[in-house]
This record gives sequence, C-alpha cells and structure tokens, in this order.
Amino acid sequence: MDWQASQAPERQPRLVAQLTRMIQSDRLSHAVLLTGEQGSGKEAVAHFLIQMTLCENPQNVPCETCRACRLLKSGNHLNVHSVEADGQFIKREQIDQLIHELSKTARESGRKFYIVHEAHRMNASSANALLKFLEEPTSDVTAILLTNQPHALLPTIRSRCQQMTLQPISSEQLKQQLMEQEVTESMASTISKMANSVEEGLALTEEEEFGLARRGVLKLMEALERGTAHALVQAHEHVIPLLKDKEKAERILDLLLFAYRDIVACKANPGSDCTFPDKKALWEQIAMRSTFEQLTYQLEHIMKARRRLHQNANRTLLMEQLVIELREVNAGV
Amino acid sequence: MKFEVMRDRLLEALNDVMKAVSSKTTVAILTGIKIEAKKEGIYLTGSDADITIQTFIPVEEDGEQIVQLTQTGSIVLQARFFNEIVRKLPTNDVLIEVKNGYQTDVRSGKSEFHLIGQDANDYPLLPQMEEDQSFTMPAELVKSIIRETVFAVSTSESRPVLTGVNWQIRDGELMCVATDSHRLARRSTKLENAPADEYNAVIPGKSLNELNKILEDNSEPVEIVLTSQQILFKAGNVLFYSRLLEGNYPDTSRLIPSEHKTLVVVNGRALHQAIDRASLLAREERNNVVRFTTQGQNAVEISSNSPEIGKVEEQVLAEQIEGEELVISFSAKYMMDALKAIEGHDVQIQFTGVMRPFILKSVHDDAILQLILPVRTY
Amino acid sequence: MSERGRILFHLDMNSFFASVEQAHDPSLKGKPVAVAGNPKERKGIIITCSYEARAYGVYTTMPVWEAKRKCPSLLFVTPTFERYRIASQAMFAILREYSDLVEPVSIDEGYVDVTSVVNGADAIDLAKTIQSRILRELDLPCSIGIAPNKFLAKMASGMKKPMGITVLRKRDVAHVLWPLDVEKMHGVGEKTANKLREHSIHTIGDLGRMTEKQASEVLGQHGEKLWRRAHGIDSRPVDPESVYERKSVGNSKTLSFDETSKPALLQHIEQLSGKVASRLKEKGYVGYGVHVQIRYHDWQNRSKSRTFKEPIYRQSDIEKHAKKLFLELWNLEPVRLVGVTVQQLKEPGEITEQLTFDSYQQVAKEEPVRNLVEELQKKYGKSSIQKGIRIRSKGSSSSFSKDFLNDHNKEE
Repeated sequence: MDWQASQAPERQPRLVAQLTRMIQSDRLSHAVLLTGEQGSGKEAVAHFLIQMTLCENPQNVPCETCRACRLLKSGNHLNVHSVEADGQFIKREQIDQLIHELSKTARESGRKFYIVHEAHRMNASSANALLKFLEEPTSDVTAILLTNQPHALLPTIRSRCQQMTLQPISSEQLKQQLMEQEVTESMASTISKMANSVEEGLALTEEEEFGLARRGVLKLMEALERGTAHALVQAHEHVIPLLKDKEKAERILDLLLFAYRDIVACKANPGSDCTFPDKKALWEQIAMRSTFEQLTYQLEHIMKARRRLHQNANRTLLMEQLVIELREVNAGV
Repeated sequence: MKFEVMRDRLLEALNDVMKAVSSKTTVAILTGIKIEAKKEGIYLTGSDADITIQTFIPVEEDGEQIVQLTQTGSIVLQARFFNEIVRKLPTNDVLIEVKNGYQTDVRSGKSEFHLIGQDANDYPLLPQMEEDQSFTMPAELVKSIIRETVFAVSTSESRPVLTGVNWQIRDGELMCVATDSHRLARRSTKLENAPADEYNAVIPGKSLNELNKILEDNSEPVEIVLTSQQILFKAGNVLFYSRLLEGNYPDTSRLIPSEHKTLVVVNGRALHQAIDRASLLAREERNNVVRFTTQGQNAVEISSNSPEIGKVEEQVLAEQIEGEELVISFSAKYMMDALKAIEGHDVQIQFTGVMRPFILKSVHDDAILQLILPVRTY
Repeated sequence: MSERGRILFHLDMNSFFASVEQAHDPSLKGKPVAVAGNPKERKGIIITCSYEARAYGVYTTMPVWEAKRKCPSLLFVTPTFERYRIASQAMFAILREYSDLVEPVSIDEGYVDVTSVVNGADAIDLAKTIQSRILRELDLPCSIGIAPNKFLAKMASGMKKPMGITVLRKRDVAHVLWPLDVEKMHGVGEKTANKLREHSIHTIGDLGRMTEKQASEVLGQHGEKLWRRAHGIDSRPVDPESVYERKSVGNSKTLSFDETSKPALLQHIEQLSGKVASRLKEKGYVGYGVHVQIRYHDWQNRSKSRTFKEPIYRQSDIEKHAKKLFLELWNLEPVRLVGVTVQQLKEPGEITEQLTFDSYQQVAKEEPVRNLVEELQKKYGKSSIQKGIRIRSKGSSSSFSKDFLNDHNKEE
C-alpha cells in the first residue's frame, strides 16, 4: 500500500489538527482506534499519525525530508508493521507473528507501530490474543486499529483504545475522487450524493440498473413538462419496471428528490452545484416558471411517497399517483 | 563510488553477508546489500531486520593490495543478482563503479553488467554500540555455548520471549538459559574479562543459529558488545548484530530441584544410543515416549512399545544407582538433545519423582545443566 | 444370532508391510526383505520382514546388524505408511463386495460374516476366491480362517501362513487347540500367561479342563471368557460399526426456549462440559478433540471442532475450549440446542502427556494416589481398579491404527 500520510490533512482536517496537538503534547495513547466509513481516509490518518511521531523535525506537519520521513514514504521503515485479513478473517497465526515481531527491540530509532486493517475481521481467537498484548503493552509500541464497524470489536478491545471517529467524505471530495477514477462528471455528481465512499460509488457505476434508474428519472422529469398522460406513459416505460423491491424504489425516489433539489438550488442560487449537471438547462427552465411554494409542495409529495413506500404501498400505484400529484402542482393551483 | 577488488575476496565477504539476507522480507531495501567504499576499504552489509552482518575488505593486507580505490561512495544492490554475478565473473579482477545516480557497472575481463541500485541512505543504519560494555571469548567457546543451549528454545510464537536464549552476566559469570517449558538447558561460563555492569538480555534463537554458522571452530577471539537494544559479535573482519527480545525472561532458577530421590550415573554415549534405538518404535504423536527403568544397582532398562509395530527393550549398564527404584517415561528427543549437549562420557541424572523435572549433568563439572520434564502415561 | 450355523472368516494379511513393499517394487519379490526405520545406521531395528527373510531367522525388533549377519543378502526398505493405508483400503473394499458384515480390526486384519452368502461347503471356495483376488489384484498374500465364531476364525487364520486357508470347527477344538501353549491363545498376553502358569496352566487344554468357576477364581471375568473360548464358544457378532464405537463422548441439550443471552448459553456449555467430563472419567478415557454443536431456531445446524496435542479430560479444559469454540461459531441468532463432545478418545495406558513447567506441580500432587492405585493393581489385578468399558481391540489401537480406522469412518 502506498504511503498516504500527506492526504490526511486535506481529507480529515479537524481530526488531523487534533492528533497533531495530542502528539505535540505527548497525550496520544498507546492504542488508537480509528473509526470511519469506507473511503474516509483511515489509512491516511494512521500514516499521518506515524509519520508525525517518527519525523525528526516536525512542525505542524512532518518535514518530509528527514531519514524517518524518507523511509516511511518508500516503505522501508523497519519500525512499522501491519496486518490485514487473510481471506475472511485476521487469523490467530497472523496476530502471533505480529506480537513476536513486536517483541523484538526496534531497528530504527523511535517508537514501533502496527496497523490492524479492518480490525473487526479478527476472529475470537485473534482478538483475544491481541487483547492480551494490549493489556501488557511493551513501553515503546503504538497500536492503530482501523474499522468501519467498531461495534463488531470486542468491547474489551474498544475500551483499551483511544477512539477517534473520522468524518465521512464530503460529496464534493467524493465527486473529485470519482472523476479521478475516470467517472464522467455528470455521473460522479449524482453518485457523490448517493454513496459514502469511492468504493461504494465505483460499485454503483458498475451496476447497470443504477444507470437505468438515473436515465428513467431524467426522462420522467422531461415528460412531466409535456403533460400528465405523457408523463404516465414515460413512468410506465422507464421507471415502474425498475421498482422491483423497496430499496430500488427508494433509490428512484431519492433521485427524483435530488432532481427537485437541483431545481430549488438553481432558483435560489443560479451558479450552484447540481446532482444532475447534464440537465442544468432543463432545471433552469423549470426553476424560472415555478414558485418556491410549488417546488416545496412537490418535494413534500415525494417525501410522502417515500414514507408510503415503507408502509408497503403498491409500488406501481404509488408511482402513478406521484406523477399525477407532481403534474397537478405543475399545472398551477 | 569506484573501486577494483579481487573477486575471491569479494565472494568470501559476500558469502557471510548473504546469510543475513532473507528472500521473505516485505521491506524492499532489505532485499539488497549495502556496499560502501571508504578510504580504509570496502564494507558490505546485509540484514533481515533481526540480524545484520557486516564484513570488511581492507585496501591492503599483509602487504598485498586487495582493493584499488578510485572514489569513495555507497550503493545498495539487489543481493541475489549481485551475488550470482560475482560468482560467475570471468576473471579475478572486478571493477565496480556507480555512475549517474544509482546505475552501477560491474566489470570483469570482457564482461560488463549494468545494475540499477538503490539509495544507500535508505538502508537501515547500524545500531549505535557503546563499546564500554564488552568482553571477549574464543570462537569455539561461543559456538559450544550456542550448541549447548539453543536447541531448547521454544518454536511456538505464543510466548515470544521463550524463542530466545537468556544471557545473563553477573559476578564475572555468563549464564545462558533456554527453555520451551518442557525442558531447559543452562550453561554457565566464567569470564576472564567480564564487563563491569550486570547484563541481562534475550537473544533470538534464530540469530544464534546463524551466528554459529558464521563463526569458525577455532580459538580466535570474538568480542561481544552489549547494549539494551542489540548485541554485537565481532570476529575478525565480520560484525554480527542481532536484535533482542523484549519482555522479562521467567526466573528459571526456582525450577531446578535442589535434592533428589534417585541418582543414576551412566555412560552418556551408551544411553544416547540405546534411546536412539528405542525411539525407532516410539511415535511422534505420542511424544516419542520411551521408558526408563532402574534395575538394581547396576543397570537401567530402556524400552518402548508400539502395539502395531512391536516393542523394544535394552539394558544399559550403569556406573552407579542410588536411592529409590524408578520407572519414568520421557521424550526420547529431549533426552537425546540433552545428552548431545553434555557430550561427556559419564552423565549423572538426578530424579525427584516420576512427575517431576529431572536433572542431567556431567559428573566432571556443573557448567552444563539440562532439565527435562517427564511424559505422563496413563 | 445363534452360535451354531454361523460362518465367519478371519482374514490376516501375511507380513503386510513387507508384502506391500514387494508388490510395489517387484524386484524385491522372492527375496529376503526387511522394513526398518533407518537401515543405513548400524543401530536400526527390523519393524517387519518378508517370509523369505524369516527363513533366515530374521524377526521383528531384531537389530539391523544382527539381521545382516544372519542374512547377508537382506534388502532393506524404509516404511511408507501411506502405501500401507491405500493397500489396506483396497483389501477391505474387496471384502465388502462379498458381505456387508465386514469388521476391520486393524490395518491388516478383519472379520467377515458370510453366513447368508454361502452354504457350509461352499465357504472354502469363497475363501479361495477372495484369497486369489487379493493376490491377483493387489499382489498381496493373506491367510483366511473359517469358523463358526470370531475366536476360532482368528485362531484358524494363524495356523497356516502364508496363503493358508484353514477351517476350524468346534469339534476340532480339543485335538487342534488344546495341545497348544496357552500363550498362543488370542486374548492371552504375557501377563495373563504368567498368572496362568503360576496355577500350572500351560496349554489351552489345561485351561479347558478346569471348571468355569476355577478359571474365574484365577482371572476374574476375563478368566470366564477365556474358559469359554477354550471350549470354542464365542458369541461376539461381526460388527461393521465397531470401528465407529466410542470415539467420542458427548452431551447435548435442547433449550426450553430459543436462547439469545450469551451468559445463559455459556452456562449451558459449562454444565454440558461438566457432564462430559464426568462421563469421561467414569469410562477412564481422555480425548484429543473438542466439538461444539449449535442448532439455531430455524433448525440450521452448525458445528466446529479443534484437535489438541495434549489430552483433554479435565472439566476446566473442556469448558475452556468448548466456550472458545462456541463463541467463534455462534452468529448471535437464537439458539435451540447446544452440544459439547470430546472426540478422538484414547484408551488409558496409551495416552501420553508431555508435562510442562507450568503443569507438572498439579500433576505431581496426584502422584501418591497413582502409586496407591498401582500397588492395588499389582495385588488384585488391573480390573479391580479400572472401571468402565475399555476399547475392545486390544493392542491394536495405537495412533496409526486409529488413523486407519478413521479411513473407515470417512466412508460413512
């Protein structure tokens, strides 16, 4: 894995500032648990923490030029160890080997570190072995546990660690990162509102139905401009076939909701970012002739449909009714 | 960096350094060896993080020119390739030169290799060793101390500290102890030039095994330098560093029984051979168990029984048997390991009960003590 | 199952390991061959040898150097247990083609009940067929004993080796068996023979001529059994399941409601472990494996087991390992049934436990009690102290045989 320390201040500015103060005043515990969604930058924060501690001339950030910084960045620092799941679990032998390694004197100056990636993947035996080690810490070792499921960890392990929570990734950052992965800007804008991490977002781009749902919703928005009957036909053709289960239906209602939010945003602040930047012209057109009152009414109806969905309403009827309600308002009260 | 060196001297030095280079390392820089050309000669360094070996080729030795230094400098080269290349070079003169950045040329006769090196600054530094805590011993003594103890270290990783040998210096005496919790080997050595301060460290068994391979069986002095982080063995032009195991080594002195109920004195070699034979019918899954029975005052019987294969019984004459009669079972392997370590001719064995540890030592001196826990059969 | 009218075979492979080696490397055929642990070293001993070698006076456990002196042309091979295991499986597969009632006793012998397969006179033909198939297909010699019960069949198969077929009827007992040394009798070991000799019983006939009561006075229950055998009486059935027997001791518990509380479930495990420990103690066994079973509310069954190097028999150990396994297995769904089993049982006397510096003191405390028990056993015989059932197949249940018996288990 590449050394990601330099990304940390940008991705988790508040946590990094907090960690920096703790390191400078030597208040950092010997066991740290970093909790955060996938893609929130746990590795980056862990790497930052290590580099900030081992750097020979740190200011508010590591110097990036001293021997320790250089070795860390090239993956050649002998004081840093890590384990990740071998298959589904982090196995007992892996923890035993890690502990054996950490039981030896350090090869470089400064503390020794180990990172346990996806710490919730430790099985009972590994977790107990690690717990025993955490309970009798050798003085110069710092543990960094990473997880997005803190509650799947042994409570006794959690309570031994200083717990810190990472902010989920902002949708603007997510959009940028998706675009770096060659996702189109329009798709990245939409997905960044729907997903919590780059991984989750990339999974959506792979999913054919998500593309269909997005297109269906946009077709429906166009049709709504052209009359109730037309809108109902479009809904039957492009949207209703996709309402296979509650989750998929919910996703479609969310997309519709984001479309109306785009319109509201356009009306309030014409230069604002959109969930569907490719439809900006249409949104502006709708925004021009709609009042805030009308748009609020439409948003409320979508929210109501969402609630009814959870009360197990018939999904076809629900969508037909929603189309009619959206049109009614459109037609002007 | 640019120098010329005699190939056989380079190979000899590489040979030792390669013993520290592991193919299994996850740290890229450790797949290489560091070459440093200095005014006084060439230093080669290899490491697997646990041990670090440095060898030195002097510019001149006994009036003979070995290295011709043009320019000082340093580089890290891929160990395996470099070693193979030097091995196969056509002539005894090797020119090594680092040009523009990390590109390294190796020339000999008409053959010329161009290797991409790595920055020597990224290579782990040698540990800082204050030389005031040190003492010397002949190489053959270091080797026998290792041989007599290291076999008893634990191979299980569940208690890391037991995978090493505890070296303790106190009152002018070096005490080395290894145990895997089934048996214990202890060797004490009087030091002629013991360091002033007490010292207590646990050296990984693996490191000692490697050291044993590097040291020659002669009386050349080995200087041993001690710190709390590393131990260094200096033998001629070779420096051997090892990391230490942290954590407290258990106090084993209380495990050693002070009295006995049965004393047997027997020829160590004869007993070893009898147990070796009996162990043929002892199965590993059953702890290689053999049975030891005293027969009157002059003999013991070694026996083993494997129902589907057969049984074996053998009498070994004893020099002396004192105290209670005894039937005890133990691991043939542990017993043979212990007898091998004592090496001597007459061994005395002190038993305190069939479920309690028993002691083996030479009748001539107390320097080596072996302790074995029996196997319970039921 | 009536004593009269049964037809049983006892099949005994001749010099099995050596024969397998000769079959594997035909150049060894007809030559004196010995299987030895380390033939290169002078100090090795013979594990087994071919009939050709036996003709020179070479025998099992003879030191290699002595064997070489007796038979300078002796050829040595090192044992390859995997090869023997495969040959054994093939041999039993042939037996099972003729009858379902095949009871493996060890890697190279077993009983077959052919009562419902052949009528009296045809039994010899069937035995010839089996013997020649094993020779033709596996290139291995065997001897077969034909008799109305296990004891006589076993005695019969030993009468002519190699490649013998021997019929032993009950009416033959007096003139065939009675002249034999009592130690030749299946079920009589060195110790029993010594005890019998103390009572001037030297031949099987001497035993047979006592009354049943006298035999019982000398050797207890075992004496009665031996007396009956000396009269050709043995009603033990051929039991294909016997290899599966008593390989484990377990208890399970159906809960009165679907339990989700961890402390409550662990408490059930504790209780079950206690029960298993006391049953083990009663039977005098220890095991090398622990197995935990969970049945969930939706009847999904899950189980997990682990093998240990040292024997498991103390309640605290069973409990510790069972809890650990349970927590690794349990997916937090409601549980309807939990079970704890100790597996890979071994008979007392064949168990070894390497003591450690941490464990020996506790064990050593038990030493005086153990000495007392041994004293009593010396005085009154072993059965006076050891309670419960012992694994039947005496002497052949060492670890290798156990592995082999597991092969049969896998065929379930």
